[in-house]
Amino acid sequence: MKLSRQLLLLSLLTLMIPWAGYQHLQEMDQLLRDGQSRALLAQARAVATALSNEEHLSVWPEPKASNRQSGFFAPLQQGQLVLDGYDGDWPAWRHGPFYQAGQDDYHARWRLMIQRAEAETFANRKRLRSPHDRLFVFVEVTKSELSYYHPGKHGLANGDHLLLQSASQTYALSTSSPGKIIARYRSGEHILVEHRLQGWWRETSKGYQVELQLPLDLLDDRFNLTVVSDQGEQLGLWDSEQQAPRLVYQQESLDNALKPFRQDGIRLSVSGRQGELLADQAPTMLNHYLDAPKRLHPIKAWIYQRLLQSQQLERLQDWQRSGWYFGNELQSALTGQADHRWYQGDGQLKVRASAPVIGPSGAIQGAVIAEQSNDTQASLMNSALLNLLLYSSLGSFVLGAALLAYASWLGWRITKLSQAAEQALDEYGRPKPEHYLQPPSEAKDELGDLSRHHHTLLRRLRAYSDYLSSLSSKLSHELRTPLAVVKTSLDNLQQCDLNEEQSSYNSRALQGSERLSAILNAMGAASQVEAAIQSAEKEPFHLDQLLRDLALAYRDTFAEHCRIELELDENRNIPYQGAPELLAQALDKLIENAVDFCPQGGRITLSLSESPSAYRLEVENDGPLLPDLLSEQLFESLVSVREKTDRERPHLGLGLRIVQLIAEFHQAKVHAKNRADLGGVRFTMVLPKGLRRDIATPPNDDLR
Amino acid sequence: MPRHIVIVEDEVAIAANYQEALQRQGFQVSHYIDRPSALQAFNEALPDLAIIDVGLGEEIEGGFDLCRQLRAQAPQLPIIFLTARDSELDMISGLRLGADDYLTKDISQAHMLARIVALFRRMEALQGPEQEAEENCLQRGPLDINLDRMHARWQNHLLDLTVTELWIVHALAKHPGHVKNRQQLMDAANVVLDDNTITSHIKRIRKKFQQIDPEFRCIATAYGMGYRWQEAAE
Repeated sequence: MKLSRQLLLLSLLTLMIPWAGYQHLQEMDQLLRDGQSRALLAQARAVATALSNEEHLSVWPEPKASNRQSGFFAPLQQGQLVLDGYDGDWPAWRHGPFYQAGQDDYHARWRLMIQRAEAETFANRKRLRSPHDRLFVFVEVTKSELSYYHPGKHGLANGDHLLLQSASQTYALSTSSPGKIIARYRSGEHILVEHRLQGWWRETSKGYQVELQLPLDLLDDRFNLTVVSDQGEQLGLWDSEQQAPRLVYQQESLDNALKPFRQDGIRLSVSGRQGELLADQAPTMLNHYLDAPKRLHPIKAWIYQRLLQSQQLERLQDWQRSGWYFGNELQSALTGQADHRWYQGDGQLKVRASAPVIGPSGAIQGAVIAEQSNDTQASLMNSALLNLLLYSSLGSFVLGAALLAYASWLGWRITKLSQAAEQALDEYGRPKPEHYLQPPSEAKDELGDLSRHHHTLLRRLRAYSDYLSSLSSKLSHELRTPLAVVKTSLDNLQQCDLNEEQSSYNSRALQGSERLSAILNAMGAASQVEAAIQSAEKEPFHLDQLLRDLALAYRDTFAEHCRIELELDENRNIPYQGAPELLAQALDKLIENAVDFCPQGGRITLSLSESPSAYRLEVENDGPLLPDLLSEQLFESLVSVREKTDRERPHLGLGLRIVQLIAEFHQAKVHAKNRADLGGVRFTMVLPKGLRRDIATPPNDDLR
Repeated sequence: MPRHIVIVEDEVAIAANYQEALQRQGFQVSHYIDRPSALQAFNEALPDLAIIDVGLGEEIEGGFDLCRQLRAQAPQLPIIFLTARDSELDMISGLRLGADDYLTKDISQAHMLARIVALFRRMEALQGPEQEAEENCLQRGPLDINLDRMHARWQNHLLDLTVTELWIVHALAKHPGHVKNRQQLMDAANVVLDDNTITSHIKRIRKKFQQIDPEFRCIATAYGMGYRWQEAAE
């Protein structure tokens, strides 16, 4: 793994800080929400207890024997409605809930509303004001052809008309022309007109619309509306033959009983035993304006929603508009168990707490539902805690980026260092001269130290390598003088009168000094070659001819030791520009080396092949392999890596150094490799063709 | 009167050994340890032959300087460089200064003596009248070698060959077409040299011939074996 990646991983640890902050925030949120819901539940309980007091029991509507959890809902309308057959004064008609039935071509939709007003009655010539709730109904019917009430026909109604059911009666509402409608009902054999039920009928482009008004008392909590066509076709939600369903509306008495508990930010509602809305106290609207600064910035709200809202909450049902509520917490309250539940409202969380209202007989009358928006959200999200979370996340991110950058920088420096180490050696593994080295870093840190030490090391290595390559010639030079003393002395001794024993010692000593002298010559050979190279000149010659001559010579020389074979394209002249004497000398050394390591009767192959850019001169021999490690150092002075077979001649590892010197003179490369079959070793000299100048083949072989 | 040989050598043991060996052969030998003393002696009386070490005590190239001065004094005096330094550059500069031969110190006494004798022979030939005895003469086309007088001619021009070079040319030309390997050449030249030195000797010999005759190609290389004399095409 790269250094930068390692440090990046390490920097991920700093994410612990925002993570811990997040955990803490979540716990805080949970805690605060629990506190809020408990408080709300307590409040709901308190209200429920209050509502079940003796004085309040009377305000509860009489329980009606019905288990059906359905029926029309008539929301409360605070303003004034004018009965005129138009809906212009119906607030929120277009957004409000309405009931509808039928198909596209014959289709009705209607809406109910309670207008809470005081009726004026005259009793004993006094004008009395008493609460008098009236139900308003607005019906739109889409129908292509209309027919009106025909007085001549019998029956309760004919033509297009409406049927309105109360708990005890069915009223047929019809008119003989657009205008006021007449509500007729049967009473025994008679057909009577109910005057308290008033309404206007108006034709529209699509059909007709009717606005009705009637006192709530007339209905006795039950209501059904059916649109009947002149053909007798009925449009309605409930069958008109059955008993009319419940009419749910806010009970004024309960609303009044709730009023004292009204509180900022908490919406109190009362539900009946089936979950029907009986009373509702919205929090004062004014508070919203005052609370406005507390409302969350959309980004914070979004962060809260994403971060802290771990479980997906149910959407809040706006039951104040539908009139019926079936939430779980209400269901458990209606079985006697106070409960609360969190909901997802519009952009914020809301909690609803329900507590049962228990009558004197122990029966459950209904339930109080308290609803509150999540105030912890605002306080939490505006708190320093969130800022801490945000800043620490940001800090972690910046730290990670900084660490990554730092690691890349470090990595770059180390890479540079390793490149310097790699480039410090030439292709033979020798250190390059100092001016080829990269200058040492000047940084004051440990890496800078390393770079400087490394530079020093390379310089010393170079000096050592230089010393080693000159060591043998220096040695040979230094040893020559004392050797000369020995030799001349021995020569002189020979001239003295010696007995047989003495002269044999003398001749042995002479032999030894001869050998010593041969060794010294060999040791100085590399510097000799260097000198020869300096004075050498390149001349055109034929490489193939040179090889043939040499192979012939080698065959004669080493005939009793091994076979020497030449692989060469017989039909090709290979002109080359170089120093043939030197090349021959290099090949001498390679062959000598090969012969030294070739077992008796082994095979040595000399071959010349051609590639587009170079000639490859190869010398292969059977015999022991090269150790892998040293194959580059082979060409160094005084390096001899193979187990040599027992021979008289010294093997100082100088021969290959000479080969290398000569190769360098020809800008050639030498390398040694074990043969693929592991039966021997192959030395290759790659002579670049760039040096070649086309030479005309001379008429006679005077090149030789 | 015995011939007088001067040895200028800072290594006393070697000088003493040579001195004794040469005295044993009947030469009169003087030994000087450094350049000033040798120069002083030369000013008094010139020897018949001088053997000079290149490095003389503190003077690394004192021998070369001495040779230059001696050559100026006596153009005909045979001078032999004897040195532990075997670099080709030294050899070239030594010979360019007019030395008659350049030998490394590990040369055997026999070889040394042969050389000294040959040099004296050449000196005598130069001084004395033309001798009639021709038994040691060799003629190969334009080449004329007289081993008694130790000189060689190419196309009747005298070749300025050292003793070693003359012996090498003689050995080659004696059997034209036969390849002489390096060992054979060394034996003929009374010297023990390494391969490179033989090669550079041959190179120098060719150059000397080519100074007279740029078309000279009679000494051919047989790669891996040695050299041979190749008769010039008529």
